[in-house]
Amino acid sequence: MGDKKAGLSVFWADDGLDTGPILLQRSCEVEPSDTVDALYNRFLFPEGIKAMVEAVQLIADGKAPRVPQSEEGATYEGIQKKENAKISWDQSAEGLHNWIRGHDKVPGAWAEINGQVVTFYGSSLLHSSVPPGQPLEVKGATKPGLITKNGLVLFGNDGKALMVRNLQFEDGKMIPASQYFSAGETSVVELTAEELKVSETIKVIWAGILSNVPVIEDSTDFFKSGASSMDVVRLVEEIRQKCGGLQLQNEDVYMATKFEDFIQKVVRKLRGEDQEEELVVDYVSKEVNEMTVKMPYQCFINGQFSDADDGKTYDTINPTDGSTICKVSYASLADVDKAVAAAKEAFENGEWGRMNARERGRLMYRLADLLEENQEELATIEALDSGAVYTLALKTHIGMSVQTFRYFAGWCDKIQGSTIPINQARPNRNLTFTKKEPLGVCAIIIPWNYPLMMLAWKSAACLAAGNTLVLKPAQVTPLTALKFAELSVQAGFPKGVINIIPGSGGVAGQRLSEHPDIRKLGFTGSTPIGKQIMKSCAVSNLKKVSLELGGKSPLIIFNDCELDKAVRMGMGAVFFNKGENCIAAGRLFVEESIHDEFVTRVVEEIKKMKIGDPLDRSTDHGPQNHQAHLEKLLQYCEAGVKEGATLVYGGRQVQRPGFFMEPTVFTNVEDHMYLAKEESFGPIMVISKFQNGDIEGVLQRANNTEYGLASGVFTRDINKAMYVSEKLEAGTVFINTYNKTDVAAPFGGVKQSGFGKDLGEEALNEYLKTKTVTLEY
Amino acid sequence: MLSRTVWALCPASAIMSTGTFVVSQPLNYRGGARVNPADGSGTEKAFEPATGRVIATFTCSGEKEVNLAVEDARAAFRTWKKKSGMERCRVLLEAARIIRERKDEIAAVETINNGKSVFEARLDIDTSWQCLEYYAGLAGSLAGEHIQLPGGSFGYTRREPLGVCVGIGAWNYPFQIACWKSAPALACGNAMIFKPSPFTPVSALLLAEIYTQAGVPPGLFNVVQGGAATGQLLCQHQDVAKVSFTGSVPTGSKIMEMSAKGIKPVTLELGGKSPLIIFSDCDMPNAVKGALMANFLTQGEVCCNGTRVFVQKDILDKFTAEVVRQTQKIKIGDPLLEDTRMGPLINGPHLERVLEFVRLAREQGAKVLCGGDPYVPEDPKLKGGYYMTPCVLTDCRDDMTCVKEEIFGPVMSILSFDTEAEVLERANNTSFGLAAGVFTRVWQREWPSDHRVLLPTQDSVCGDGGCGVCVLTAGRPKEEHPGTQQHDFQMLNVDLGAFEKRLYFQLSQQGAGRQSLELPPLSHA
Repeated sequence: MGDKKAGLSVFWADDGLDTGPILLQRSCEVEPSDTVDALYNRFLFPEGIKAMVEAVQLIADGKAPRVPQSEEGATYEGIQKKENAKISWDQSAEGLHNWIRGHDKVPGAWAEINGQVVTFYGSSLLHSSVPPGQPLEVKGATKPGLITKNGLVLFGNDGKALMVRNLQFEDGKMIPASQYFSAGETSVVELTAEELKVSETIKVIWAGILSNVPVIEDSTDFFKSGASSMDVVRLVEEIRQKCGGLQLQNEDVYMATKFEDFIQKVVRKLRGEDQEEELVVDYVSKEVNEMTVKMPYQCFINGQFSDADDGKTYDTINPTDGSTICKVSYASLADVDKAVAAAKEAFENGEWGRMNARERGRLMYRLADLLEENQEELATIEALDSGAVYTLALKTHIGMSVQTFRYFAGWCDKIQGSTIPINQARPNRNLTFTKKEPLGVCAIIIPWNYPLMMLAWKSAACLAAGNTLVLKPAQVTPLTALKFAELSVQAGFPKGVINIIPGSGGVAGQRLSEHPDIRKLGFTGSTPIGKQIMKSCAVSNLKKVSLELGGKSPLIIFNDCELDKAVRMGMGAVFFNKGENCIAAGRLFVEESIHDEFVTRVVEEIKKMKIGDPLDRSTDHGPQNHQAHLEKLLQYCEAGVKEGATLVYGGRQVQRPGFFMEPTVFTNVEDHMYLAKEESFGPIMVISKFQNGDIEGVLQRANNTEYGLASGVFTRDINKAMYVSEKLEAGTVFINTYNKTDVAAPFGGVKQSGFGKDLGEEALNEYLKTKTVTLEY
Repeated sequence: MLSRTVWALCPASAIMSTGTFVVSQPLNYRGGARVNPADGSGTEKAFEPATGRVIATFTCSGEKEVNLAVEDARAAFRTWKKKSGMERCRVLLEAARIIRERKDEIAAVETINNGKSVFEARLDIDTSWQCLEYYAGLAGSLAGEHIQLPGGSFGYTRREPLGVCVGIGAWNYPFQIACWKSAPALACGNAMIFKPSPFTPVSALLLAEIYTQAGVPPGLFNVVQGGAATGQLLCQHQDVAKVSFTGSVPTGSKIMEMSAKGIKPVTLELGGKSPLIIFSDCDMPNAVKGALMANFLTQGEVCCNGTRVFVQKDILDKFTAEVVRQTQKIKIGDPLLEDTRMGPLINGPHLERVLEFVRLAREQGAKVLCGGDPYVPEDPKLKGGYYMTPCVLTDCRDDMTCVKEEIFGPVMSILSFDTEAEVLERANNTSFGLAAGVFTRVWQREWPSDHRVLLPTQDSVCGDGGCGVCVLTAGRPKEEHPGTQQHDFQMLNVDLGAFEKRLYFQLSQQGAGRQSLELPPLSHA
């Protein structure tokens, strides 16, 4: 009980005491929730057979060893008996859990409840906080149990808890523990008179469809009897018509193809027992922005919120005043592994992998609708957690997330390969076709500047392609991602398809890039981290990678531009979302003749900007995302001054609580300076002058960077604009506009700004693999 | 799981019963509401084929009404084309949702006016809303091309809507055709004026109301009722940009001629006399089932039906006996009843025409193995309906009328063959070319138009032309653009010439194909 290892031995025959010399041994790790049954299915049965085959071969080859059994510490535990399986309550929760699973299913650990022997099955340790429930007196237990929505919670003498899913009574009847108090709701396989009638009706329907089968028996299989998918529709429809409107899904027929199984399924539906467990969410609630925001704060793994494996948490901070919003689970390596395992299971064996693409699309449409319905709450959380200005968060952070899911939902059933004529291997013929297939489990690691939107950009394409995912939000901004997880359950995503693990890049992020079961990693963040991730992905299992990294995007403003617009858009290019914007214009090149006027007007405009609480509807400029970032920005400005750039405006922290930074303008920035080379990721406008008419010169300077994410040009001359857009080395060129992104337009960089596109049809290819099938006939 | 819908205990189809339904509201739709036509050219009656009862009398629209409808659609087009793809997507999704929600009611109306069993009608409604959802998803991602030219110059293409398109429907799938024609048109930003067949004027109005409820601008989808004269007015109207028609070959030919005067692009989805080839190595139960489906769904009134059933000689007797046995078991009767599998034909004259084909076949030497007679159900209220027993003909020759002409009724002609080469030549000896089907287990068979067909090794059926899957194009799409295999581009300016042939495989039931490929219901005009 509680062993970390389990094993099997094949030994030479002896006189019946099982003490013969050992021939061969096998062992396996015991997972924290393994039961005897689970071990049997996973290890004992498959490995036992292999071991026996090997043993026989060893004997046949004359190579079989005889290792004497050690007598030291040896015990003999016979077949476990029911009377010995009674639970002793004076032990820790883990001890109880081990006892119960050690007897699951045979003979079953038991206790006395209301004078009756009740046997417990399906134990798991409860890592999250104890959900609400109705107390249940268990004889001998230190504390009464709790019947909750998900099962019976029991407590050890250490105050910790475990959850038991199923209970069996003396008469052999087994029920979900959650239904202990629901009188009359029995879940025995026995059918009531009413249900027998339904069963007869359904038998007639089956007979009508399977006209070639003389008698429908319990063992009659729908498909083996010749039914096709059209018959499935007919079956579902006839049952709806004749069984009081009972609505089955086509999937139900595929899951229960034998008549008796099908009847069980129908009866369970009729009794309402197939309902998915209701999601238990522990929220941190806050009254803010004239609403109650309810924020999940735990890891979201396999459809459930739970604390980190080692119980660790960290504080997430509100940058507006530096206060702690709440404690958030800090995912450990074990949590990453669990999440990946859940995603793998969901991909390989879950409903997600079997579902039609069009159904996948419908789930995504529904999720988009739910995001939209909850946009105020999501925008409020974004404002609290990342300092995003609320009005902007509504439109961009949340609004574009909704659009992204809607856009990719439409792609789900349009992912297709092609047929390709190839040279024939005469006299035979050949045909090649390609299929676009999902990759499997994908990891997504996203930054803190647009927490939900970055999640949406990557996840939507990933899910549309049919993958499952494990996503790590930025450590400093986990809350909208966890709220998203909750909504994904409401939308009906099967468990394990979406897993969200808040935590650090060093632990969870690193583990994701190294994990052998992950086939693709999508990352948005800084260039140095991107390089490290790519390296880990390469070394571990050659994961496919897409990297959307830093930028130092040039914005060239020619003297023939529309100056009003250039000033307005130029400011947006720098100050949008507090400058925390990967495509922000990192350098402005302004043509000499309009340089001074441009600077004057920018400064005038900055003075009008309202700095303040991001939840205030009139605020233009909120706090920087977190303290360390603000400090980095202040150092950046210091470096600029030290190197001799002219600080025209700002450059300081705003004197108020929280992490506010003044919008800042530097001029006379020369190409060799730190400011000209490095990304600030903050509200700092870096202006360099260029000689009138020197297009080649300014292009050469603009391209003299290792980054290549975005770029922009303002001019009224279409020829000049097209020429410049052709010469600029960047993933995106904006002409007479800036920051104009759209869900249908691909987005991503070149050079050290990374590779792989988000958004648009191209993003799908980042999450698909092409299989080429060639056949001869 | 997708969320379960809570259904009323009594579906709408149960509330509506045969012999009770009448339409008293106007059957034209313009400006977002039902209207009586501004002028007319005679009246028509719509029947309930199950009883022979008149359910609606309506005026055929005249020139004034057609002009109003076009004007109205043009105004709506101006608003609609300016909406972003994502906005159009949302409206179409909403319409799809409403159709799904009202499925039972729409199916019942369809059954009452068309005569097909309500069970089949519901499948039609499913493929209708699926079609809307599919094109909704495309609306946001229509893209043109950018072509690089020397010296930094470039060209680019945009996919722009045509304007006011006319859809002319057939009577066998009234609602579904209205959806299949309007969904791609609307998704791309066009407006549509739809003229249903005068035999089935009712259900298109439900679609019009649903579009309005879903939020399309008033006038974007108008319904104009009438026959050939009204159709002519629509085709020749100078502000109509395109005509899409489903129906018979003679009418299609006339429509093309009329459209030619205005050089309007047309899409024609016409008749067929499709071959269904059964090789002796086929999986017999599957082949029998396929042959029944390919001939008797919607009373055989399906354009892609596989009505020329070529059977290899060594299995001819066994196959024929099984087909006859199962054909005789098809339950004919009140189409609103759940267990009815064959309802009445569309109307009296059509029934007469189909019976005449059977009579002529007999005269020309074919043998009637079963059916082919008028049928009067026991239920007294069905006495005036247009029923006949499904018919299997054997001893047919390629030159018989029943083998050469489209019957469009429940009449299967069985022909025998010896060799693969022989059957291919005979199968292709027709002026039609809509669909074709093959049942075999062997890979190396010639596809009936000189393209070798690939077939899985077991239990395979190359289904009847693959109708009913709205992702696949029915008919003859005329476009060649990478990745464009949908109707939608037919509604667009770029319309290059090339045939596309569609091969559809149903894999073995035992194999993994079970989940990846679904045999579609044979449900489409």
